[in-house]
Amino acid sequence: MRTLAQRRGLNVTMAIGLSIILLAVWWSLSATLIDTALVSGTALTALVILLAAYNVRKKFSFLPLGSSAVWLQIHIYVGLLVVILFGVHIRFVMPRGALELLLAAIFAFTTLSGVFGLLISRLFARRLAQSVEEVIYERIGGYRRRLSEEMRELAVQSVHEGEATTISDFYAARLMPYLDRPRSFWTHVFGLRRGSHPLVHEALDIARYLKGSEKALLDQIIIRVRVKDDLDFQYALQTILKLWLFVHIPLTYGLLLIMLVHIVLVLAFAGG
Amino acid sequence: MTYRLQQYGFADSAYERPSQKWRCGWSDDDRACALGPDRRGRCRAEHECQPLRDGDRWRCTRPASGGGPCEDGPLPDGTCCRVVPPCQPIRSTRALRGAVVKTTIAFVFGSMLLLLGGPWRDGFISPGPLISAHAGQDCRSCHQASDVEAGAWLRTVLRPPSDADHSGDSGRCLDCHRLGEFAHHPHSAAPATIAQWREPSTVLDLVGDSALLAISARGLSGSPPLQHQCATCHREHQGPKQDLAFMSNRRCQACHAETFKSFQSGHPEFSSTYPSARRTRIIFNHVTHLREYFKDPKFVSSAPISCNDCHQQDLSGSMLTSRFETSCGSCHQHTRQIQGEGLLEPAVAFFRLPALDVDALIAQGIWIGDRPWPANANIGDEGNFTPFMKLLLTASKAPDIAGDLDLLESMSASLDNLARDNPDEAQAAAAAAGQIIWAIKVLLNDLRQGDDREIQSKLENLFADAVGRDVLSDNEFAALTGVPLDTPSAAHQLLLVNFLAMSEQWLPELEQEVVSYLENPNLLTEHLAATVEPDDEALVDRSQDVAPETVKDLFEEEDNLFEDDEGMDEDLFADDQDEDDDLFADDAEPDDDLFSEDEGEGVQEPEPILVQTDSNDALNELREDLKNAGRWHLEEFDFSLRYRPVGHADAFLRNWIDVAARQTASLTSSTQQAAEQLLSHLIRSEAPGRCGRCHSIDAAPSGDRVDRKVNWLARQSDLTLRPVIRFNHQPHLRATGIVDCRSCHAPADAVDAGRDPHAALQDFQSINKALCVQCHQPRRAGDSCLMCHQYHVAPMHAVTPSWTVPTNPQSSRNGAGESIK
Repeated sequence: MRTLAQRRGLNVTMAIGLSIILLAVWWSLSATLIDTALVSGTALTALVILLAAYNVRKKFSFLPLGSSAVWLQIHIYVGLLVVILFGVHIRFVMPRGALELLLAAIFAFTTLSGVFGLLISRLFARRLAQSVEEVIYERIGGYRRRLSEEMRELAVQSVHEGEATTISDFYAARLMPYLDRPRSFWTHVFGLRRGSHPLVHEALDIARYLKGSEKALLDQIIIRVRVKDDLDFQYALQTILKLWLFVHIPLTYGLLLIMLVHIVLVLAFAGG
Repeated sequence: MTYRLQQYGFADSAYERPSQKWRCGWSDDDRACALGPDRRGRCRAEHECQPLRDGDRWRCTRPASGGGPCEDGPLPDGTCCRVVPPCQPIRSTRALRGAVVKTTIAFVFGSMLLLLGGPWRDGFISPGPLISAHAGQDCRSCHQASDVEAGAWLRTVLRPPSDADHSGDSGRCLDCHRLGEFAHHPHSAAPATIAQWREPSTVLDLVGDSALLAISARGLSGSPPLQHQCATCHREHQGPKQDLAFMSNRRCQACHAETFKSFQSGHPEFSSTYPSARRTRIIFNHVTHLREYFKDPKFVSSAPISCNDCHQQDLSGSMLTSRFETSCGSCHQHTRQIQGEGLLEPAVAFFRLPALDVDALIAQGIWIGDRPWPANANIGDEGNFTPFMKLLLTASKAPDIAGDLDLLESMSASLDNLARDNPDEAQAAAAAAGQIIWAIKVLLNDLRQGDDREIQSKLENLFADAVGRDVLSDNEFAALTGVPLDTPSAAHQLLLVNFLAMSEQWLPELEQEVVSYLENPNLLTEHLAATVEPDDEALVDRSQDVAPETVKDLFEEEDNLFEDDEGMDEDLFADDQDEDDDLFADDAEPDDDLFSEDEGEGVQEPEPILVQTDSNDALNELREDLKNAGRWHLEEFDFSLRYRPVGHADAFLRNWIDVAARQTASLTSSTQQAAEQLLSHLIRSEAPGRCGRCHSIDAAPSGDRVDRKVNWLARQSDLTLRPVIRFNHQPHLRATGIVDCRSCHAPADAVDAGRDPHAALQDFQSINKALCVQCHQPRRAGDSCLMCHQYHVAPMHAVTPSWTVPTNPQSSRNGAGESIK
């Protein structure tokens, strides 16, 4: 069983090797009368379709088409190869025509979104694993509601037990808006938070005014504030992890469509 | 205390299905129903469970994740007691993404339809600006696909046009860039030429410094395709400054078996004769001129100071030779003639009554007419027949004498020597000679039958047949008679009148004899000639004998050195009236000095024989003028009609040499033979005009024949020609280190000049690769293949394109454009 480092090293080596072979073939073909753009374009089309097939494969998970992890590895390294092949195809010169420019721009954005997805899937996964509890994205809304309910009950209980409204006032003024929806989205995405949530500090500040039973309730509230903050963290990172596909996949289909137009035009206007 | 939000396990947590399109609207309130929405996003939950009948009781089936069986249990009618309020199902994240994908596809598809179907189509699909030379042309100028609507492109893709017909885009390129029949072949050269170039590649080719190059070139591409499309090499739409003709050195070697690294390293050495791929068209020896003649005190004042005095560049940078008058003429005789000083050329016999062995004919009973055959008819330098006669007889409607001539030749007999030891051979030889004589008589008689116009027409037809043409124009006929064109009607009849004079003077009973002969050809042998004695005065008139030696002496003039004659028009029948006008303007006046010079040598110039007719006074006057000017005249001493060329580029000689050269490739062997004799006769070194001393003849085998072309001009500027190797003198003359032409063109040490127009002559040392390598290296003057080699070797005839400027984009695609020539 290979380690991750070994597997990554092997894949990177293979990708670099294939790229060198690709450039050597292109260099060789450029010395012939073969239309290198036609050859590179054909290869590019085949590889782009292979990359796009990863999304299709997810829809046919019941078929024995190999594990998603293997497909992902293929997707990543073939994607890197395609970038080089695309450069070869356009002879590393910016296209001049409107359609070609549009096609190149969509290819570039698709590639960049893919690279972005690759980066965040590596970075965010590590950060998510470091959080207190990993939760399913679809359940985050429900958990937030549950936390809201529990804190409301704790606030009511503090009124009954302490005959004071210190906690309930704090709940009404500060916690209710906080629990209403996800908070600190970009702070979590960029990892800007250092230390605990400010509400924890505020809760600790009012602890000096509480009796013993109320302090126990406040501790429960502080715990849930931290859980809510952790839930927001999960929500922010998982939202980004899902949203990049809202860019990458539509761009891929747009790329395939414009690529088809490009191929038809090239073949029709190659004209003999 | 550890607080956990999420519980895992069948009993503790509902099963999430993120791949489903909809999820329960209560899921964000942490109370999603277990059933969830249907596939269309409709809420299906009415109760928390669907009770199960167990015997006569209903049992609650609420799942453990939802709290397990409830305390109250189902109602008596079997419905769940816990009603779930309906929700508004929410799209799952995946469903949202799918909707975005579909929207994107629809947007792109719609945009493409709009852009490809709208007036922006051409601008949208154009892959980039054209080169400046093509600016202003629309897609239809070059692309067949632009003629059809966008929908038809798919059909073109699925059924591409055949490569063989080249009616597609490449065909449109050739509408303007005409490269001939083999435009799509490699180098636009004929297959036979390519077959000569191609060499089988061997394993050895792949060894050495350029192994990788060789492998890549041939190992991957295999044999080069037989034909190429224009776009294989010429990539348009790369911007106005794109070099459309660029081709990398490596690409050149895709086909060439011999591969190498660079011009400096590996390029084959030049041929031993480079840069002279062929002999010069004008026979000229630079070495003797530079080392001897130009230093001769007689010529030193006329000698050129530099090479540029005789050589000038054309637009392509090729070095050309100046006209005869401005280069060679300063020293050579022709110029003095042109300027009026004159020089009498020996006359060339055009038609002659051949010498005849009358005794042998009489002895064999061969009848050749009642009137005596001129006894002093002579054999000329060129033989018993003039070469002109042979060609005309071959072409005439007179009896075919080719077999008779062959028979005489096979018996080593001739018209003037028919005697054979074998009686049968003697009879056969005499009969053949009789046929030949009658052919001459029939020809001459035929030319005098009818009115003037008919006779003229016959003569013209005879010339046309000899030339190998259907009809001759007035100019062409005049050119073949060497008569100035300013009197065309009289000039056309000049030769005719001379023929008439010839027949009336020397064969006065010609008409009656020919009539008798044609009525009964058997008279040839049946006539009572056998009864006639060999010395019968009726047949032989010896009173007009003239010593042949005297005649020969008349034409043995000094061996005049004629050199380059640049100024002539290459086209055989091109209008060279100006040149002729000049010649005749100078030469028309009788040159008494010349005649007196001849008289001084003791030779009596024969008087012209004038035909006395009432209507031809003007013609006779012209004949007299031409005779005095040294043109046509009848010679009594050998019964011949002669032409005396005058000056450089005499039209008569030039045109008959061209005719002879052309007819050597005639399909008729007798014509071919006659033409070869005429050509040899006219270009021999001592021939009148000395044309062959300076003008070489190119001979190109063409099947069983040899096509010959007389080089009347030095190499001319022809910008349509595209040789494989190109050289532009212009940048080289500006290059540092090149002092003058001799920096590269060093005169040869010793040259066999020769005067054979067919032989090669190299009077400069060849140029080798090392000389060029001094500058042609990558970081200096460059060493691209295309710097010295031209890809398309076929002549290219650029055509002014017929550009179509569409009145509007829509009408452009419908073909309703506005044409501009």
